[in-house]
Amino acid sequence: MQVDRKLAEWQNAGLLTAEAAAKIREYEGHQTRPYLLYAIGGLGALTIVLGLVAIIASNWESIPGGVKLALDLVLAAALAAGLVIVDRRGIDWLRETLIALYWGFVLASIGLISQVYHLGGATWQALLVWTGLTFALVTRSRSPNLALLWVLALHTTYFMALEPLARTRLAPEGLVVGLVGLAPLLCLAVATSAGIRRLRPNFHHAFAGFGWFEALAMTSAATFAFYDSPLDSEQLESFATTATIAAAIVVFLMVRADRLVDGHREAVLPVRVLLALFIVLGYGPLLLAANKQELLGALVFIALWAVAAWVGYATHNARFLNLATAVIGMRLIAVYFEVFGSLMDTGLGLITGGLLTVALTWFWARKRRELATRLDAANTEPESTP
Amino acid sequence: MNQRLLLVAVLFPILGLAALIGRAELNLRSGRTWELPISGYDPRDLLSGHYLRYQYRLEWSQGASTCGDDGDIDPECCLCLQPRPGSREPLVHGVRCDAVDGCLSWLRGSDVAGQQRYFVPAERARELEQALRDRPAALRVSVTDDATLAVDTLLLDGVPWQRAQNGR
Repeated sequence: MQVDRKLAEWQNAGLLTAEAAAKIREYEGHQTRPYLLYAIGGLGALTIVLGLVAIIASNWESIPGGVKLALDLVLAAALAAGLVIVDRRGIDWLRETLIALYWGFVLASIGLISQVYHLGGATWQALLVWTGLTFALVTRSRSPNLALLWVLALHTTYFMALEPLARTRLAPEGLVVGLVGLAPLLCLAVATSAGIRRLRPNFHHAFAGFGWFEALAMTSAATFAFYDSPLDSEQLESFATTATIAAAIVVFLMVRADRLVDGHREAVLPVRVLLALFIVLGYGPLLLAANKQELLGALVFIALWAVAAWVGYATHNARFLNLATAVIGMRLIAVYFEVFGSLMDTGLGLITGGLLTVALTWFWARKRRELATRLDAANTEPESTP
Repeated sequence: MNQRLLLVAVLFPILGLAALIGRAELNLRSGRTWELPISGYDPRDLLSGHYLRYQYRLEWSQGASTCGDDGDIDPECCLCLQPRPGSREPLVHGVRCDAVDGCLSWLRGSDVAGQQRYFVPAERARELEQALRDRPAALRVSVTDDATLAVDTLLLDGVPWQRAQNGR
């Protein structure tokens, strides 16, 4: 095991006594989750449900709709009862397995009802009902993965609902593009709720994680509008409406920025700057419709990730800091190919860019020790910040 | 407290599913029954194989306003259904959606426009696809007072498809 190897290494280096190592080993033993048990248990339960579904499917015609639905409700009730029983007996791995199974089973049941009654609704409507019906169930889970999956399902529902909207005359393309950009901001707004953070930390982390990830990804993508703006002047009008809503949410988030930094007060300022960039760079390039501004596009992209790196530094999140630096490095390399045209110019550009990258690495290495000391001081990697 | 919350959490999906079933059943039973003629939209959707794709072929009242031609119905129009003597299929004319009071039943254009889907057993999909091409087909539907359309069954030659196909 990695812990044993590390402990032995630290003992040999004289950093740890045998007694302390034994205590750590005992503590880690209690903390270990039976992932194999989770996996095998989940697989077994999934196989049973799939078997039942296959039996129903193979007798599609011979089993009347009413019987199929009755059987489905009985299965749901059995899963519910099983869940309550294993919870009382304190069998955690089975409890989590059954919650995940029940969650999936509800979606399958909605599909069955749609089939039996030939309901012609859109997929997003079924997903919305599913996420609504299972919200309370998923909040009972102690698994962060299930919270993440539930938020993912909610996102899928939102984006799928936008697709038919784009096809109607009610929603011009500009409005739909703008609505896509609201998803991460709304996630971050939910993540600022103190109640959710206290009562359901898994959901807080899931909303915050999705919010930061999507906001950075979407804003990064929006900077490419400096190359070629996808919206025409008619579409811009409806896009501006959503930009106004986005700006209002960003102001709300800036006011509550202290709730997004997990106690790292020094991170409030960089988080506010990053939030401001989400609106300026996420919506600005599309609103300005400034085509053929490649260099500007590249520079604002790098600026965005530089601020992201600042957030990582201020929140003592080493992994995020490294990621942001890597993204800047990759974008720099891409710039060389974009900006320079002829072979000679490209060659010169690569040399200049290469020197710039080497200088960046040298600066990074020099500052590393200082960063390590600072990051070790807290030795925490907050999950609610990027 | 936690036990109670868990109980509520596990019961809520069951109650929700039961409500979905109840609502679908109520729509089917409480509405007025009509038979709406249909035709195949395109060859069966091979990706799924579990449903037939069709479009409505409504009989428009002569001289009255329509909401389009055959399957190409304007989604923003409303359809007024009136009984046709000697037939279960209605006579249809287009109306403004705020002027449906005189209709025996009415439908939103968006509910019957374009491609529709009817679920069938996978092993009989090919046979039913052929039947939909060769024989007069209709859907027995129920339409509630608030224009909710609930599909009951596929009719071939005026009888439910199971009976029509098994008798051949």
